[in-house]
Amino acid sequence: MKINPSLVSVLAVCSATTAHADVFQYAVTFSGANESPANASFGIGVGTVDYDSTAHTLTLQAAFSGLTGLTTASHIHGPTVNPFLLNAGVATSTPSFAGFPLAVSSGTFSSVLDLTLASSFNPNFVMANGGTLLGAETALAAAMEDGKAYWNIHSSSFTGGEIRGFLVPVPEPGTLALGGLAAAGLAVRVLGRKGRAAKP
Amino acid sequence: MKRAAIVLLLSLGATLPWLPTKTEAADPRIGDIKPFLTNQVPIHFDTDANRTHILQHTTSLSTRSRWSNMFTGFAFPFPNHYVVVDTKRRGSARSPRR
Repeated sequence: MKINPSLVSVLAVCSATTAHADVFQYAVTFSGANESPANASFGIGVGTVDYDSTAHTLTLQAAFSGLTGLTTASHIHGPTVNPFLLNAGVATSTPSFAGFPLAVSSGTFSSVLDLTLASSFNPNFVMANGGTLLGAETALAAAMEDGKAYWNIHSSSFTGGEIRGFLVPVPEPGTLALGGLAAAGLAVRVLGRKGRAAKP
Repeated sequence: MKRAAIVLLLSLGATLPWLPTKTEAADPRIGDIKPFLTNQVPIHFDTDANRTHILQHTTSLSTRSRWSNMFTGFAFPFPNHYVVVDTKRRGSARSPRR
C-alpha cells in the first residue's frame, strides 16, 4: 500500500491542533538576568508548574541556589502586558506560597495549590478578574498559556525579586510525536521531489 | 533588643503614602508585615501601574510625626509587588543620645 506523505503530514497537523489535555505543563528557569530590570544575582534555579484544569490544581516544584539575599517570598505574577517581558502584580498566594522555604539562599519547594480556595490567590488578583475564584483561575491559566506569567523569588537583597523565570509551555509527548510525524512526512515529500528532479 | 526591632515597626504603623495620578485606583495598603529571622521585618505590598509608591516609617504616631522614607517604588507602566525588609532596630531612626 502506498501512503501519500502529504496526506500523512496534513492528518498529523490536524490531530496535533485538536489534541486535548487537562494538564498543562510549564517549565521555569530562574535567574537574576530574567528579572526586570535585570540584576547581577548569581542565583539560579529551575522549576515546573503543572496546571490541571479538571482538578483545578497547580502543582509547583522548584529548586534554587546561590541567592545573594535570603528568601522573603515567592509567587507567580501575571499577566504582563507582553509575553516574556516586564512585570505584573502577584496572582497567587500572598504573602508567599505556603511552605516555600524562607530565610534561605538555596532550597527546594514542592506543593499543590488548590485553585478552588481563596487562599491560593492574591485577593487583588481575584478582584481584578471578576471577584470570583473561577475568574481568577481562568485569568491565571490564560496568562500562563500566553507566556505572560512568571514565577518570582523575592529576597532580602532584591525587593522586587532576586530571580525569576517566565512559565514556558512544555509540549505534550503526544503533540511532539504528532509534530514529528508531520515533519517526517514533509521530509519524505521534499526528498522525493529532489530525487525525481535529480533523475536525468 | 532583637524583639524590640519587631515591636518598633509594628507599633510605628508603617504606611504607604502615594502620589496620586489616577483617582480610580484602590488605596495602597500593606499586604503583610511580620517578624523575619530574629531582627528583621519584611513588609509586603502591591503597587499599581503608573504610580510612585513610597514606604515610610515614623518613631511616634501623632499629628506632628515626622515620617522618613524607607523605600520608593517608582512609577512604572505595570503593577508589581515588593517585599521590603526592615533591619532597623528601635531607636536607630532617632538622633543619637548620650
